[in-house]
Amino acid sequence: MTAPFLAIDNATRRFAGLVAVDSVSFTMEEGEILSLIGPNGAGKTTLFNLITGQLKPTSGAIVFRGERIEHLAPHRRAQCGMGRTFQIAKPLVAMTTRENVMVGAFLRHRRYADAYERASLVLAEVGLDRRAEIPAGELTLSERRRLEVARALALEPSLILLDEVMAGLNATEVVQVIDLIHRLNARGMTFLVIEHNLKVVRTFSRRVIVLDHGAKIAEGNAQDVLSDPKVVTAYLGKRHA
Amino acid sequence: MKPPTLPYALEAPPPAFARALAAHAGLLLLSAVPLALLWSNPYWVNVLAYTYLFAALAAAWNIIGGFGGQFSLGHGVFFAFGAYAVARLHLDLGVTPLLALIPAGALAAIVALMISWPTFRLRGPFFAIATMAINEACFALANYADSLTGGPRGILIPFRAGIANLIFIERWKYALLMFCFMVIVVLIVVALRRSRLGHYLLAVRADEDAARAAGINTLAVKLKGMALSAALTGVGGGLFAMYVRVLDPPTLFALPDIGVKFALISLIGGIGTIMGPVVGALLIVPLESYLRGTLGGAIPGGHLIVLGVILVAASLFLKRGIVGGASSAWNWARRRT
Repeated sequence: MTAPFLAIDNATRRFAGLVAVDSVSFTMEEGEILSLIGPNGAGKTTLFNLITGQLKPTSGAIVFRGERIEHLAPHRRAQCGMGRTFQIAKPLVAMTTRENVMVGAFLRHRRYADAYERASLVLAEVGLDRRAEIPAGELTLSERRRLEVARALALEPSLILLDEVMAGLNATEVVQVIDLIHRLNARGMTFLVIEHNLKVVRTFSRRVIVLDHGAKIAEGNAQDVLSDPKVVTAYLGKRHA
Repeated sequence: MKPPTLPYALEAPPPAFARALAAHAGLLLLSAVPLALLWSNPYWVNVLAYTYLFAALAAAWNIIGGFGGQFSLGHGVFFAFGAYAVARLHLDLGVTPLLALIPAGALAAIVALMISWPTFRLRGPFFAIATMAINEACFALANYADSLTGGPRGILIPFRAGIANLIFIERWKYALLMFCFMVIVVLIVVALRRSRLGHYLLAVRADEDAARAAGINTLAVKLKGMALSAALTGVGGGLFAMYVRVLDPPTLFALPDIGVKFALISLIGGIGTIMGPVVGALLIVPLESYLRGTLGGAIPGGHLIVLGVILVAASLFLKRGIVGGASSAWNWARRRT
């Protein structure tokens, strides 16, 4: 059997007394879109940070494309082929939209002209090409979210982690982002997505993982998981289960 | 992953590097106009020599302080190391200062890496305070290291005119030399601003977490920016040594005259902009010289009060300095039409 694309093995992260991520294990196949859901404070973003290196796990292993990565610094994991967005968009101020994307593109293209051209392609891909030359600080919320995706895409990653990129977007903008994910996925990019909107999750994700209080409480087909009494209890409380 | 296919033809090719260089060189030539007009006036030639030198030094500081966002107040150390290196090599080994500038810059860069390795762990004001403390510690040490620095009495470089010694009878040649140094530093910054390191420095300043997620080794980027900034500062220190020819510790380490002034000039002109330090120096250095002359007798230190008020006003009303403010206004006006 071939090694999985991404494997999380008993990853645990403690903050003093609090166990934010509690021995979570799962694997991902190349080319899939896996959704990570759970109520607020379930540990979804902490788990993201363990995978991308912003945090180190207290214990457990993370294997990405056959390599142990849990001890690598975040920039090394980006070099290995991971791109991520942040829940609170982080446009790099004092730079234009294009320069923001070029910061990502410089990872694989050292020359200015190459990084510039790469950024042009990515900006067109996410629909920011008309906003390329304005300061990134002036972008709207939806544009900032797309800029996050663009900077991650410019890294030419094989795995991309999206942390609530659709929060606060209107229905049209959500459809645009879903289209973008589908388009990139069709070209072979793998997605791990934190998403609150369960209707959205159903449309693009075959497999779903549910976290609650740091632990994985359900995994499987989106339809089955969302009707699992444990999941309903986690979201809505005992009365509704 | 396969590269995305082009949805439509690539609109604009990247702006040409040669054009950016030429545009900035043209702007810099404008700042030579006062020298062309006043070259026979010894007072103004001296002021202009300082203006160009401090424009270059502020532009060098701006690499790590502005683009990299690491607010160093310890650049006086690199300046002093450069000055002492040129003086010692010239006096003890007879090396021409023209060549001694190279080891002076290299030494300043090495010192910078040694200082930065521990202090880059500190953020924001704590980094600024730590670098300031190192400046003061080196100031004190320079007073004791008699054999290298001449102690409190300092070093005197004898007046032997000649291009090889970088010592000139005609004072305007010093101003021209400083002008050339400024042009070189600014054009290096123009190249840096377009380079990978330049983009990475700006990313580190904006958000270190986002920078790391974009594959940037933030510590390495800060160290590279600091080394380049310090090397240019060390070269500036060497030129300064051959200009004043009297090097005592207060001249090289005094914070209001050296370490803090690089930051002050950049802040007023426009921190993190290419031309900001030049604009700041053209404004601040002549103004300070004028104030020192008019207020110096009546209120000792009075010029520092005025400069302090300007700095407070600039940080309240012109957060991105003159150049930053002007470019925002220009962009705003262009979009309105």
